[in-house]
Amino acid sequence: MFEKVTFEKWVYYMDELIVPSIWVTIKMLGQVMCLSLFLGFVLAMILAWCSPNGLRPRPWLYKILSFVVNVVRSFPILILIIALYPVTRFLVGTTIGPQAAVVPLTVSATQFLARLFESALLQTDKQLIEAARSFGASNRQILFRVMLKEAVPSIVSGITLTTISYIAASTIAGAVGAGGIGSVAINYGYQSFNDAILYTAVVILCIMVQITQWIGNVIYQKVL
Amino acid sequence: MIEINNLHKSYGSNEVLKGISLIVPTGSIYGLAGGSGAGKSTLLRCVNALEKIDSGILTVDGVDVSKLSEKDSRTFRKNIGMIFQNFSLLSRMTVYENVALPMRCWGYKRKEIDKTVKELLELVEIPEKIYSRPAELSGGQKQRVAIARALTLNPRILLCDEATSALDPRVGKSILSLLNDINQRLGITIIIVTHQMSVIRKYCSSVAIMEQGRIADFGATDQVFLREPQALKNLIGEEKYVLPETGKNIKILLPDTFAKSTVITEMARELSINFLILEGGIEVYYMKEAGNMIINAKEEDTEKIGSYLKNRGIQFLEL
Repeated sequence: MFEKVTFEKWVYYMDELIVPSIWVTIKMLGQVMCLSLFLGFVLAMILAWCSPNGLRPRPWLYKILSFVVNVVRSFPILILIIALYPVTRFLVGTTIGPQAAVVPLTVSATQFLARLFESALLQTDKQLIEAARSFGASNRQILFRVMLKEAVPSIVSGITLTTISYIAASTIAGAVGAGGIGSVAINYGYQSFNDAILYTAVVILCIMVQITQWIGNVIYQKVL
Repeated sequence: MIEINNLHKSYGSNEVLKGISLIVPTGSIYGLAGGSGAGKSTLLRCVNALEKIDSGILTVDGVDVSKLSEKDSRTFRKNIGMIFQNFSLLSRMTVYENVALPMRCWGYKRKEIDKTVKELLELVEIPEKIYSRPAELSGGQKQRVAIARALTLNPRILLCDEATSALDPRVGKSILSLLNDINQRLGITIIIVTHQMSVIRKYCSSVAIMEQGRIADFGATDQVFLREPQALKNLIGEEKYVLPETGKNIKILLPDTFAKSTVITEMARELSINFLILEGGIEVYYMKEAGNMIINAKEEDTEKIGSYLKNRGIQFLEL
């Protein structure tokens, strides 16, 4: 059962299993981040707009949206993936494979980003907003030219944080048939007692996280 | 001209402004003094419609502020610049972009913005900082940027909310002389909200002292300071003199024209009386000087002194 792994064998695993799965993960993550960035942004804008201390408070709308976001938040990612199977099947036609995993991961990442962006936007100095009002800026101008502008560094670090969190989440999705580096680690590594594959996958995940953090830091320094 | 009549404003059950009536003449530098929580900042925000008033009348150059729609009040605010204690600049924009922001919001042409921004940075004397970030500037320089930004839309009124409170006295002074300069050169009405009485005394032509949502006293700055009403004493918070208990203590107010005259010694000689001089001094007010002197005279001389001062047209108070 425990076969000895030679270097040739390892190269073979890399070529056939691990490297393709890295691409699957990156592609999956890319789709999740693009979609959730867009949706999260829109949601965050609405939240910041109608929050009790936002630009034009609309308590009821805020309460409802906030409640929905909190419901999605309270699901552990694995449960959310399973719970959303009907939605996923409706949208993608299947519940297996990276395409299917994009749906629940996007839903989850959207609420995560929305909360981060919302707090980044609302952190804008109140007096700064008042100053903008004092020269006649409209709420929309205040949102885009003042709050968003000032929030860019927090937004960048929020995106970095989310990307890293959802690298981890994508590997959990791998456990329930999403594909990618996570499922290689579980199916071919852990469940096949193949430590070479398991730990190679772990190292690769580490490297992916490090690179993401590094890129995030560089951009953060640039926009500060 | 800003006319306020019986203005009320509450936050929930907390009434912050309890019937304010005030007239701010065009072109003046008007001081609004008061302790914290007196309602002076709220009153200031009512003037440019940042705060809605509950009742009363507030007109700015004939425009009834309370009747403006949201859209109209945005346009209305173009006429009124505002600066703040914490400068309120965007930290991620350069000085140029900060000053240009109001004009960009109102869709001015690039060329026009460029010209105005450069002119205004000349006016506030920091043209060399045009591409700096606020973080690279000192407090005084930041306030100068804020002043330039407040002037971009060519306002007729400038509101200053504790604009010098975060600055050290020397820098504060330079900002105030800049404001004075702007008032003189551009004819802009300036309202200064502050708790620093030295600011009011030297830079404001008139003052209103607020206490717990009411105007406790108001008038020309030198008059108010010479009269020293209770509201002013409360604000300064010190008992100034220890007075003798025998005889009569008389406070003589020496306005502008008499401040440097020899009226006191003339009086002594002409009436051939003696009295104690307890305290006196000349203080510099907005574009004039005024003095006051406290003397202690014998009971029987009081009447003589009174009629002498009256004849010369000098105000006095028996303490």
